[in-house]
Amino acid sequence: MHIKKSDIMANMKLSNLKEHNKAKIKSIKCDEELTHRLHSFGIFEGDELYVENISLLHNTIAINVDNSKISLRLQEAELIEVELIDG
Amino acid sequence: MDNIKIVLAGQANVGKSSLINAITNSKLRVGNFSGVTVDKAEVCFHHQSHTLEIIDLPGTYSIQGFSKEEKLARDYLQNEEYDIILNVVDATKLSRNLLLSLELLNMNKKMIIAINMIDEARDEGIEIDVEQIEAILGVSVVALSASTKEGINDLLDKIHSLADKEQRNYSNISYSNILEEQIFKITQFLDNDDYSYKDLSSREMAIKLLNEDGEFYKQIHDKPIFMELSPLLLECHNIIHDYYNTKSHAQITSLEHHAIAKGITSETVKYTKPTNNKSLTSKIDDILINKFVGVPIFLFFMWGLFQLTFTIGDIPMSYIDAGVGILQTSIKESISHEGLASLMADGIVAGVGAVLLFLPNIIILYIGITLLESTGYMSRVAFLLDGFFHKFGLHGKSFMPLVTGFGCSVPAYMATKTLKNEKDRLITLFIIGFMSCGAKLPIYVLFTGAFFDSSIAGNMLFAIYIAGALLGLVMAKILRIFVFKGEDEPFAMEMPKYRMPSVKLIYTIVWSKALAYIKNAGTFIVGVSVLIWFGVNYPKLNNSNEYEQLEQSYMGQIGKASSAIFEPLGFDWKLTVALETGLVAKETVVATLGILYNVDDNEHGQDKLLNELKQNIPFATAMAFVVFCMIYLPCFAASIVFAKEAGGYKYLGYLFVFTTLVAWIMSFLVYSVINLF
Repeated sequence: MHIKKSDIMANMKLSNLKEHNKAKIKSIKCDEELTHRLHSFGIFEGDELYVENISLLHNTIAINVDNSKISLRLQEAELIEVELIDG
Repeated sequence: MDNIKIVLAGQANVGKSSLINAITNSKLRVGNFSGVTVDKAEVCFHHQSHTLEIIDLPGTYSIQGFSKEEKLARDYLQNEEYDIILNVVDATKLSRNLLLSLELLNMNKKMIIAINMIDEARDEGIEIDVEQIEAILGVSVVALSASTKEGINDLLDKIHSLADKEQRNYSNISYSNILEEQIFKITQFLDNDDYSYKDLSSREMAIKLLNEDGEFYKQIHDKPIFMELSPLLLECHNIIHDYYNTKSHAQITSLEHHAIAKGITSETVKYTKPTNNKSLTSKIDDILINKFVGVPIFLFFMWGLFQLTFTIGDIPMSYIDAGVGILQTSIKESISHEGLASLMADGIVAGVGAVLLFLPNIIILYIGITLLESTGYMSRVAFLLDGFFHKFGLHGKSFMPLVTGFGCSVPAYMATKTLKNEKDRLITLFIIGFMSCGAKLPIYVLFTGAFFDSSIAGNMLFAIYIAGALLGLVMAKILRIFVFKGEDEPFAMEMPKYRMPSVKLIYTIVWSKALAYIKNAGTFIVGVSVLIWFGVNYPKLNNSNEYEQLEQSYMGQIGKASSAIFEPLGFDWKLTVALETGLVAKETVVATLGILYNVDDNEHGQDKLLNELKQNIPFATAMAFVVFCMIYLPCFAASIVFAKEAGGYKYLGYLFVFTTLVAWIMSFLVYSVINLF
């Protein structure tokens, strides 16, 4: 059994992350409205994010991007592809 | 005296309201003129022989976006007359705040950027080179702190000198190479043709053309120059679209602005302290929105606020109640004309009393809500509860108004203001009535007391409350599926830093809300009170007792006429009239039943009424009646507040149809099912 690390990384979504994970945003794959909303919060492709809190039933997630703390529903977090950063 | 009109724009939580408070000092005159649903606050004050008029736009992260508030802000900035845009930004989140500043610069108006919370930034080890930012952006920039008042005078001076200037400065920002090349081509073309429009530079016109700015496009479209310009424009657009691999101008603009904002901050902002330390806000959040204790802590806060509202609030309420009673008696004693005395006392004074009665609760609750909002805790509440409420088509923030509804619907309807999304707010407004308010308690107590053994009456009472709340949630889901259809607005929300609001700010907000309630709802409440007084007291009978008077009154006649509608539920005309008078206030239902069953209003009255009801009303009918009371239209004061918050009286019409239908159907079900046994 050998799972290539790159395979997991390729499909990693923001919704898959756990509390205290650090990641880099690879792509934002949602409609214009949500993309714009995320942009206006300062969330762009290439930015680094840190997962601060996840709610008990895993419905909402709070991330820190560029010193701003933003909360998202999990449905929205599923549309954001990320790449885990070690440490 | 010259008038300077300033539009205040900024992202949420940058301290716009605090800044207004700081610059206007004590000479404050806050007026509310409401848009459709979003209030644009307006403040006037005098400074150095100028009248400054400040229009406070709703806090938006962008003005290019799709939400109602963003459109409202954009429309205002584009179409209204004003002198200066005052853009407030948060010193500790400069890069993100500059995204909005850059959008505002494209409005090509006189503009000042106020970098607020500079003291906080200093504490965090953030150093900002204000002059450098000024040089890059080409507009005045002031670093200040609304809480310590540092830099406020500097800001006022700059407002004056900018207002006095003949011409605004042109912005110096430069875009990416690819965009600059296109801007250059179009600028040259416009210059060759000597084309001019208003006070725009050729560069600004070129940027407008590339952004496909509607107004300017329309303007240039009819001109001969457009013949030659349009192929060039098409070529430029194609180059940009190919480069960015998208045709969305909004997206291209944000990407460009993002790069510029990053560039500006890397040149002008220095961090002198290591940033890997955990911030105080994160530490607090580790407790307050902790997976396990977050919700219990929140429930405790809510319980506290609720206790405060309805125990402390009860004290002034009982005084108001007593005061109104005394005033009514003295009016009746001093005015000899019976009809006039009754109109004054039972119509007008009772109406004014109804308005005032809710005021203590509204004030206390609003202090609580303002605290929750301005400390930054409210967005955490949404984070904690959204998972549950979203399942029912509601929003995490719906919790607050819904729980308030158990106390009183009036402040509950007002509390829906915290919901920014219109669908979320409307659905919440429509189901608040299902949370039985305190005034329905006497009805429930009477009926459970009459029809259940005292050992289980308490449980039944509790069951009624729970059943109402559950039904409300189900209704929310139904409304979401069938009425307020369509995609959810994305739930993406900033969790601002925890901050202590100033007492003055809370005072200003609460006071303006209280005034708005009295002004907007108060007059209608008094008007309806008089109308209902007329319905119950006329046509006037001579030598009749209360029973006959009520039976023969317009209200009684309507009750009798409409009793056919209620026949399938087993209600007779007496119950129907009781329901109708319940529109005045829910407590009135019990009083009306007392009159109609000829029970005196004394100490033993309640017990006697209990027995009368037990003997005269079948069990199934009684239960159907309780269910109807639980669901149907709230009292008229609440109904008027509902209409104000929902955005028009047509919504009150919808609420009437909705609640009456649901109440009828549920009562019919209860009546039929009980009759099966």
